[in-house]
Amino acid sequence: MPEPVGDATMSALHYALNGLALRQRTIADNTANIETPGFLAGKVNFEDALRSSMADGTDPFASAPTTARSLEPTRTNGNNVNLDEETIAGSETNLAYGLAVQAMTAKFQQLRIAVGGMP
Amino acid sequence: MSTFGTMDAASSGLVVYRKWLDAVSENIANMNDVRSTSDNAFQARYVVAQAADYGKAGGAQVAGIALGDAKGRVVQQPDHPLADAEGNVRVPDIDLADQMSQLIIAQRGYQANLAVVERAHDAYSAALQMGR
Amino acid sequence: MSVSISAISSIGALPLPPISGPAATTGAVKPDFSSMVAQGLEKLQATQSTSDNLAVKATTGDLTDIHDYMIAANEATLATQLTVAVRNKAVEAFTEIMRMQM
Repeated sequence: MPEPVGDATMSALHYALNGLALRQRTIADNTANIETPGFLAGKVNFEDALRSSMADGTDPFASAPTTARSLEPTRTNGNNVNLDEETIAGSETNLAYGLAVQAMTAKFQQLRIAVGGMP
Repeated sequence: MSTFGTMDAASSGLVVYRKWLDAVSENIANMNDVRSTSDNAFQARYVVAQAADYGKAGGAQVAGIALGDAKGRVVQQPDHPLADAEGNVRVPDIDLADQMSQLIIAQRGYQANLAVVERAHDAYSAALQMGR
Repeated sequence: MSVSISAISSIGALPLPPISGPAATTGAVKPDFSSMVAQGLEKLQATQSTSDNLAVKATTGDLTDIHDYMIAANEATLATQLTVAVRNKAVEAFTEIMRMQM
């Protein structure tokens, strides 16, 4: 849903925050299932949809972030969750989430300054 | 994500060193496998590492697993059930001292990559605090 | 005696309307106040759109250095504060002058 108060950038940031939160949940799910037989790791992708909708100028919320199962080779018990990758991905997602929150804060701050007085 | 490219590169390093540790542990576990002289011996596992995207900071990847010598060593064990007519059996050509030193190198490599991840995390966090 | 003051171009709520080019200041002895304000607004729009573009690039994962975005965001915020302060002072001064008894 496009922002009632805000512009395309805030829409994009909101979409990115949704995607990053979904990615964090998926990483937690993967880490919990690290020894489950037959479990394939989940990978979330929202960047592609966001990039193409920004290039077209359309509303990014038209397409939801996708969760795909990883096609990495599995171990003997059919599980293909890689603990190192999931840990690093968790750290990166935290940083990216902080960055997106910072960006939203800055946008709101600018709006508030322009509306009247200092923030 | 190339926004945090440093951490991606270090993460790929962790994967390579973890595979190396796995290979070494497999070699050590199978060091004393005995087979008859008509079979191949247990072949040692060697991880072939290569740079992903050489020249640009892409990290490392495992190109494949190379297998060691299939002939191994032929030793005298006449009491063994698999011994042939001359009392020979085939054992793998794996040197424990060599495997232990590889283990130490792989562990150091793994720890070094972890340190890179931590430093990168600190740097990015500091950048996100700009202006606060 | 009347003092003629050139009008200050209107500043609406965000998003800011596009500003036409400033009056020619090249070779002029003294740039007049309205052109200075218009130039400031142009620069403000430029910093804001740079910051927006870099924000989207950072979240899609295409930005190699996140400090580029952080610097641009800080610049945009400061430029907004500066522009609003200038506008407030200008409106204050205008009001003050209009209140002067002739």
